[in-house]
Amino acid sequence: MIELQAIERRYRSDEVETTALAGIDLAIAEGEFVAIMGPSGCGKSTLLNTLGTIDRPTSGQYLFGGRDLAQLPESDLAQFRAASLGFVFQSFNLIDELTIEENVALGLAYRKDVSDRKARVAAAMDRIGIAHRARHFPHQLSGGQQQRAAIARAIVGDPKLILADEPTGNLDTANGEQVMNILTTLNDSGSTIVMVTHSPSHADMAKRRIDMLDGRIVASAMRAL
Amino acid sequence: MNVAATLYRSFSRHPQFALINLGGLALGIAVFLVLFLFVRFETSFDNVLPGADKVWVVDRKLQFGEAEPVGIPSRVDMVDLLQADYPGTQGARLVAADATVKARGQAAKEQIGLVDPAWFDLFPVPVFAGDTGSALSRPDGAVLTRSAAAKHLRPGDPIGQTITLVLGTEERVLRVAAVIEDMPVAMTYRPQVMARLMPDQETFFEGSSGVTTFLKFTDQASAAAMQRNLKGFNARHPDPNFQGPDNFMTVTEAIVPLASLHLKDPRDGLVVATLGALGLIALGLAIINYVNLATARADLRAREVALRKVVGASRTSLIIRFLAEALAAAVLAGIAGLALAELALPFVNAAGGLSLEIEYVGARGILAPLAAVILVTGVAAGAYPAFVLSRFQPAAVLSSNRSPGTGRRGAILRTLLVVIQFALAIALVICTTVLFAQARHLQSVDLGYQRDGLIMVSSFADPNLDPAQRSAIRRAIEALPGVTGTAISGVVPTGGSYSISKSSGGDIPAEIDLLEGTVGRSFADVYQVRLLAGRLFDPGRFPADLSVPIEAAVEDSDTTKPTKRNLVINRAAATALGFATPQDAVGKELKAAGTFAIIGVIEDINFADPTVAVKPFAYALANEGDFPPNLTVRHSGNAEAVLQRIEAVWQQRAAGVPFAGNSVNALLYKSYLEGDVQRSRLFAFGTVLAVIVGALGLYGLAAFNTARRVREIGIRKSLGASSGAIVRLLIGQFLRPVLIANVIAWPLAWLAMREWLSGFSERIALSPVYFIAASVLAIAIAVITVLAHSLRASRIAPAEALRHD
Repeated sequence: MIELQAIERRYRSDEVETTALAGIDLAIAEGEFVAIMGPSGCGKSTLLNTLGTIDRPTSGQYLFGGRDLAQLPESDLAQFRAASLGFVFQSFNLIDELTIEENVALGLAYRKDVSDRKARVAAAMDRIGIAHRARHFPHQLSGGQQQRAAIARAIVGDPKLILADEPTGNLDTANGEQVMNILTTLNDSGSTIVMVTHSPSHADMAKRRIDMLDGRIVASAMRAL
Repeated sequence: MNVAATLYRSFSRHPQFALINLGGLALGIAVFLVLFLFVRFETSFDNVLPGADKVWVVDRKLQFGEAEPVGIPSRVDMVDLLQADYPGTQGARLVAADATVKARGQAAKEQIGLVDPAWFDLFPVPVFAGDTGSALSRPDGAVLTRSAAAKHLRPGDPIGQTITLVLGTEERVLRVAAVIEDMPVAMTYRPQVMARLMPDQETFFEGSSGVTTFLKFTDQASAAAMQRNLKGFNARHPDPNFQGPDNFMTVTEAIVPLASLHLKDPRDGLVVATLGALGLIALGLAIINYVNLATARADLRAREVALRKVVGASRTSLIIRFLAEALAAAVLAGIAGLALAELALPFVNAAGGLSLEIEYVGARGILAPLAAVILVTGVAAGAYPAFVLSRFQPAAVLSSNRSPGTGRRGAILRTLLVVIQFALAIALVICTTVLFAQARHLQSVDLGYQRDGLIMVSSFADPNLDPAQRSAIRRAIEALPGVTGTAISGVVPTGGSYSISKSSGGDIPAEIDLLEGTVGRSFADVYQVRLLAGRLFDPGRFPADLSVPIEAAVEDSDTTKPTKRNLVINRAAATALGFATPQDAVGKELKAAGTFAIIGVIEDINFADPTVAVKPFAYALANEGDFPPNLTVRHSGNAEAVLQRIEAVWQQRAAGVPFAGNSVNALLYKSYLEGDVQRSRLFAFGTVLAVIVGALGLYGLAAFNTARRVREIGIRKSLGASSGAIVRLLIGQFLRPVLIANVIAWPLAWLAMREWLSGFSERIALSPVYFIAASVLAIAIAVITVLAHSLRASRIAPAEALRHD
């Protein structure tokens, strides 16, 4: 489904050039659950953002379903994200002024081809177990509840790919387990997931583990089944 | 770190923010200062000279029957009579006139004042040379202002030089006995050349106002006592000039404070109050901006506050600190505002026909009011941020990864302030456009005659011209290229002379006050009056159409004159006399000051203030020469060119009489419309700047809000929002308060403008166009203001936006 070829990403400030990704080749098949690990600053978040098209590679090819995304204009990328991707962030990134229901609905807000929005939002919240908090605002919820709302927002549009950037990083152990269970369940029912994590045990719950260092992939291993 | 350093660092780190915040405040202060100067100028009129508050003016009114009383000159012997009745009464008389002054072989028009020697006790203008105490003790003494002395006298010692005053047909040779400093502009009566009032000039002469009597009292109580005494004055001293039959004429005397004269017309008072309010609004908007931006930024400063508290700052010390910062900003803005006001003043003066100036020292110095404005601005702008910021709980702030700020409450307050700002701005814009539309309307309103292509030669009526000179001048003017006709009439645009009498009897039972004016034969042609029914005067039907001045007809029992003369009346007279249609009036007999037959009805001609309804008026044909010969010239082409040719003719044939002539449009503008136009301009000046202040505030707020929402923009983009959707989101957020502002502004402006327009008989309709246009403008300004920020924000790369906090 996804093919990255020789992806490089360099940041340039006035004095220094930093290389975040130094030639990444990676293929991800449909239905995979990939965990990316590595020390801080190794480029794993940049890789995830590149997969999510919210960061553009400096060079290289990004094929998604055979389509070269690296060449698309920003407006097409926005449509692509709306239709095909779901994001889960470490800091949840819910919008403070909107209720949980409205936040979840935001996952459909930029899709033109969707009907029956209300029902889909309700279904997504039900599935993640956050429906009883629909009318609350984010700050009235615990961290675990907020992250579940964020996951509901990520899946409400039935994305082809879910990208999760340290989804358990801000959660306690119990809530972290709960979120991981949700992700595993989603993967079991067919969702493709790429997750950045610092937790080896959470990484072990994925089907495949990639280790990164200094902008490169240094190891890639399938979990023994 | 002290306050100045904090301010400096904050400004140099966020120069754009500083510019908006201080610039807006400075602009608001500048508008306030200019309008403050205007209000002070208008309200301090006649209160500038020492003791001016003790000077009162005799207000004499004449009432015909039930008609509206009219002001008339006071009795020539008023002061003498009062001094006889109440010894110790202090008073002086003035006959103001626009007269010719001859000196150094030149003749020029000048505002002159014939006064009693006691004048200078009431109006102690500082003396430049000579002695005003004795100057007018001699009948040939003259006192000039410094400007008048520079204009009329030879350089060198002014005392003893001679000038000649032309008063009506009399010439008086005078010797300069004193020169006074120029009188303050804010004085109602400011004659430039003063001479002793002699008995033969007390009654009305050409170009004079008649006698005005001024009284000076030691205190308010004695003024009040005189007010009571004057109630019986006319019974004690009946005036033979106003002894009409059947108590038809009533004369009353009263005194009014000199200082109350200037804003006597309630409309003038309203204008001054409105412009004063506008100044306060502009300042208020600027303060609102400051508060808005300060509370918005308070969110960003929460960490600073928390840290200060952690290291031991008390709440009081923080409040003082933030107030001091706001005050320091207000001082900077105040200085900048003063500079802006100085820069703007020449333009404001030119546009508003004013002579405002900023004084720095003395009782009328600007520094004290400026200090007050700075203090009020600083405290008002600093109070809310100071109290909100100082309340932050340090632990909560420091442990949170989000800035706590003023949160939802702060956001609501900011939105509310934007609503108020835009509501005021929209209402002001509506009012300004209505003001200008009305002024335009008055300049083009149908006055019942063709005002374009008409020139009035006012100096034609100068008593120093003889009939032969007049007809020679008139013939020469008629022969000029571009001139198509001339007319002589007693009534002319901006006035002329007419009389008033009661109509009663004849075929018409209705009793009305009828104004009567005389016209020459070509009047209807030259003015292009519109006949509604009957016919106009016909020179062929002489002498039946011919009338004589009404005064003469009353006294004259000469039976060789026709006993029944013909009149043309206006539509208002036909209506007031009770006729259903103009046609019904034709042929009817009317008794007023004589017996008349109505031969025709014409459309109302408005020769007076276009803002006031036309009164019932009758026109009588008269022999030219039997009434004040006002000359009107009908011409084609450019008025300026024709005017120059007429003046050239004048200089050839009447060089001794200063030429005065102008287009009727210019005269009407000067007499009735200029004031409104100038005030509309002042209003527009305030409005435009108030709107700019509002827009600046919105710009700053948009910058802040957009910065605060960068992360949200990142989230939305990761969810697939396009740049267009982000721009719409950000602009929509500001459009909502602007749209709500309309709901407040429309009824406000509608009420204010309905009230204002009701003062005009000729007025525009309050069309929805003004309201919609103002709202569209406000929306356009709001969109343009926030567009730049929104576009920039919408282009941020989402990954970068998500890292933002």
